[in-house]
This record gives sequence, structure tokens and C-alpha cells, in this order.
Amino acid sequence: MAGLLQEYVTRQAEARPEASALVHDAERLTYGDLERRSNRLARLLREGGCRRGDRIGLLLPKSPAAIVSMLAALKAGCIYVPVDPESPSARVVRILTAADCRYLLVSRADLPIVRDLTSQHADLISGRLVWMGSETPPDLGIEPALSLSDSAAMPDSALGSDGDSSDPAHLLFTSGSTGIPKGVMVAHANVTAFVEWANAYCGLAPDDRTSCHSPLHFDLSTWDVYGAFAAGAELHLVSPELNLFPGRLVEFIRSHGLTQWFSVPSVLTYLTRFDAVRTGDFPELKRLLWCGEVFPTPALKYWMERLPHVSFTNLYGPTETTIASSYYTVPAPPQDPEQRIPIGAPCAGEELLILDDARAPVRPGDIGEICIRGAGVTLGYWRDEEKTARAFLPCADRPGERMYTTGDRGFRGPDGLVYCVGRADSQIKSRGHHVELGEIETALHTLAEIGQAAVVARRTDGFGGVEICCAYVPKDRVELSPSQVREGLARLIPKYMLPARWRHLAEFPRNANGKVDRVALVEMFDQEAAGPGT
Amino acid sequence: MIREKVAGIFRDKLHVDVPSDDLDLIANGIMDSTMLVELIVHLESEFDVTPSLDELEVENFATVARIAAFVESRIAARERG
Repeated sequence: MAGLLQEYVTRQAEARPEASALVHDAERLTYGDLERRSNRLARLLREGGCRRGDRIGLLLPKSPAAIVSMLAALKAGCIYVPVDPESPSARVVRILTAADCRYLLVSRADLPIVRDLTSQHADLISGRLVWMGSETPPDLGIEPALSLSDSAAMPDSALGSDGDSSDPAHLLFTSGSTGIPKGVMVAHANVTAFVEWANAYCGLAPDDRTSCHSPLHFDLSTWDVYGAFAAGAELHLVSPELNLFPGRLVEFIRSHGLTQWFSVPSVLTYLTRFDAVRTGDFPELKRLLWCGEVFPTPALKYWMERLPHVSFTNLYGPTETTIASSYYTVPAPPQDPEQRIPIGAPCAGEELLILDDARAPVRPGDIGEICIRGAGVTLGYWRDEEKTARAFLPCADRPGERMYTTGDRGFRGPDGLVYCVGRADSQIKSRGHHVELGEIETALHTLAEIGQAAVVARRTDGFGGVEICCAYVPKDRVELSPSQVREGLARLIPKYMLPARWRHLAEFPRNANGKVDRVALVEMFDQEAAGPGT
Repeated sequence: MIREKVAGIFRDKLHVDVPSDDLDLIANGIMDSTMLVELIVHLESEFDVTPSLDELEVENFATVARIAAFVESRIAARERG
């Protein structure tokens, strides 16, 4: 039943207008509320001049207003661009510049960053600001072009649509190795293909209570939101600060009686570390899914043994192929801590290929690059044909079709399932986000005091994953403490990219070719982590 | 004394300059889960104090001053036996 994403809500609003759609703290919206509010805001955007294909930036914390804004942008025929309001303003500027948004929706929660933008980048937002607060806007330095309160007078009936399911629905910006974030163009049809498969596989129904745990600029949230709306389920928005306190997070799942939870391994291992889960906890939970990074086997065993009534499903896939492309439901708690959990079999409509350097299939069991083709393959990178052409390749055996080369290394096991063994390049996963170490290095080199800097990732034991480490040589031998570098870097890149370990060096170790010896750097940080007095 | 040591952990181990002991580390987006885990490791090695699940709350971890007060109360409880 492919169509446009906003139609999921319209259909629920027609059939069950009073059914609960969205819960956030004390706020609760029915499907009827969601439909009417998004219709009104969509009309306001249309009256404000929005046309099919225009980009609408959403600089909004996870909230019912943000969800209404996503739907309204789609109903106005536009492409929404969720931007992390926690990101440093320098990165927000890079994303807004690249996306070239017709409007930027902001709320009270973003006042510091909005004032930063108005004082330093007025050209980016002048005439484009939409105030999403219900109250009169405070002094933003620039008069908002539109305000949510203006939409109150708009009719709340459905708008006609000239959109097509092959149109982009949103741009999701991910880390780019040269320091410029890349905007993945995700079409309506990419998302509906995954939603149809995943909802059927998980048996999502109107009486389900699901959660939106991931941030809205993160592609896993796309299934949380549209999967719940397609099923007519009740979506519970999880505030980011809950992630900090394991006791509160598990209490949230208990008290909301979640029936399905889509999480990331970093959160699950964090809860494991504090032994936050009781045996038989979350009695209403039916399925727990994770994606985004490897879930360490000891932590998975912990979860499965405590929750024997829950199905545990591993999903795999980059943003470029929409949410996930393969799945594996773990049949029993793994007993061997070294046991590798497969990324599994392709979701319906997807295909995983393991290819060698010449793009020919490897033999079963041999390691090659995991490439993906099928319904999830996105339209490519926004206004970047070169990067798109490099990562999305034509399929030799299927004219007109493209596949995405993931950069992940993997093999097909004797069980026919695909196993992932790591990366071919310097991209890593940090708390579910893919991070290009090159983006961190590029940011470091813009700091005036840095002579040279290198960023490496080291594996950590047990429940951990990888740790980002930075070594640097100051320019002109000035005194430069790690905290000074960290502070400078925090103004340029998001927190999840900030290195955890630092080393001030007089000069870098070099290999035989005269290049920075990254292997030696990793060893240095490994020793520091293992040694006393750290 | 303990407060200075906690501030020292932030400065020298976590490499974060916290301008004031009363600055809300959570509301200001300074503390994330990775940093909290690191902090707890250092509290264990420096003071032999490990927070329980119930103690891991905003009230105990929002500021340097509150972290220090929490550590002090745990040490006092231990000394009382």
C-alpha cells in the first residue's frame, strides 16, 4: 500500500480519530489532533510560499510539535530536514547552508542557538524563521516570518497533494569524512517499503505502545514514527535526558507499558552496566530491536536471560539504504561470549551482496564488501553528485538499478546468513551514529592552536564498543591542554563525536612512509587505558 | 576538599573545564552518558564510592557541588559503619 508517509496519519484519523497517537510527558494527541494540527500548519507553510520540493528545516527538540511539523512539511509537498538542536551552531550552519531551507522552524528550547544564528548568520535565516511556540516569540533578533499561532485561523481539512512516492520526504545529514555533513535524500517509497515489511514482521497493531527513543535527525526514528502511525499504535516520545539515568529509563518502559522498543546497543549496554533490568521486567514488552552498531554478546545474553518473554531482533543497515536492510531474531541467549551475532537475512525487497574489489561476488565464506540493493536504496546525497556516484553504483546485471556500497566488510556463513566483521575505512559507530574520524580531524585542524592532530579509534573490552582518541601537536610549541582542545572542538562538532582520550605530543610517531603511524597511536592509547594511574 | 577533587576529575581526567561548581551539567548539555560512565569509574578509583541504580539521579549528579555532596554522604555513611 505504497503512498506518501503523511497518509498513514490521515487514514488513522479517518478511521479512529479519537485513538491516542502520541504521548510526551503530560501531552497526549489523538490521530484526529495530529491530522488537524498538521493540516493547519501545512496550509500556513503553503500560504507562506512553500512549493513542492522546498526544504523545511526543523530545529526542534523531540516533541509533539516536531512530529506535527514533520507531517505538515510533507503535506505542504516539502522535504523536511531535522537538525539536532543540541549540535554546535557551527555545524547547524553547515547543514542549513547545504540544505538551503525555505523555512526554519524553531521553538523556545533553541533560543541560544537561534540567537547565535541571528547575530552571525542573519542571511541564512532572515525571512525564513517560523516561531513554533504557542506564546508570543521573545526577542530573536529577527522578526519571525511566520508563527504557529497564525495557523490557528487556517482550515483544518485535508490539503490536496501533488506529491509522488518517489519524492524525497526528508534529508538526514550524516558525518562526512571531509568535514561537510552529507544529506541523505530519503524518498517516501524508501520508508514505506521498510514500514510495510517491519510492521508485518513484528505484528504491530493498534493496541501496541511503541517508543521513539532515537533523536529525530537519526534515521532509526523514522520507523518509530511512521511504523507506529501506519499501525495506528500509540507512540511514546522518550526525552533525551532519560538516557542519562538508567533507573529512570527502565521506569519509563515499565510505567508506559511499552510493547515494542527499538533501541541502540550503546543504551542497552549502558543499562547492563548498572544492572538496571530485573528478571521478568517489562511484562508487556513483546519485542526489543536494535540497530546502528554491534551489540556486544555478553550484554545481549544479560538482556535475553532477564527477559525470556521478549523477542530480540538485530537490524542492520546504513541511513543510505533506509533504516535497515537485514534482520536476525536471536533464537536463544548466546552462551559463548565470543559468539558473533549475524546481521542476518535481507528484509523483504532488499538484497545483500558480498563483493570483492572488482565488484564480483565472493565465494560463500569469503570476506568482501557488503553492498545493498532494493527498495531501501535512497536517492543519494543532496546536491552532491560526485559523492553519490562514488557510493551508489549501477548494478551490472540489472540495468537502471543502483546498489549502495556500505564500506562494511562481511561474509555469508554456512547458515546462509550475513555476518559483519568491521569497516574498510576510518568510519566508526559511536552511540549508534556513524562517525567519520576525518570529520573530527578536519574540525581539529581549524583550531588556530593545533599544529597537527590525528584521531584514531580503539576497541574497548566487555560491554563497550569503540573509543575515540585524539593525539595532537600544538602549533609553535604553545601550551595547550586537552581541555582547551576539547572546548574548541565542542564548538564545532556534536558531543557524540568528541574524543574520550587525549594525548599532547611533541611530535607524531611516523611509519616507514613518513606518514602518521596510526597503529602506534592506537597502541599508545591501549597502553594508557590498561596501565595504572589512568 | 572532596569538592576540589571532584572538580579535578572533570579538569584532569574528563578534560572538561567546568566554570562553576554549581553549573547544571545536564541542562547545559555538558554531561552525556559516556562522560557519566567515565566519571563513575573515577569516583570508584578516587573515593571507592560506587553509586547504586537509585542513587544515579539528577539530584546527585547535576553539578560538581552535588556530586561532591553525594560522595561525602557515602563516605560519612561508610565511616559510621
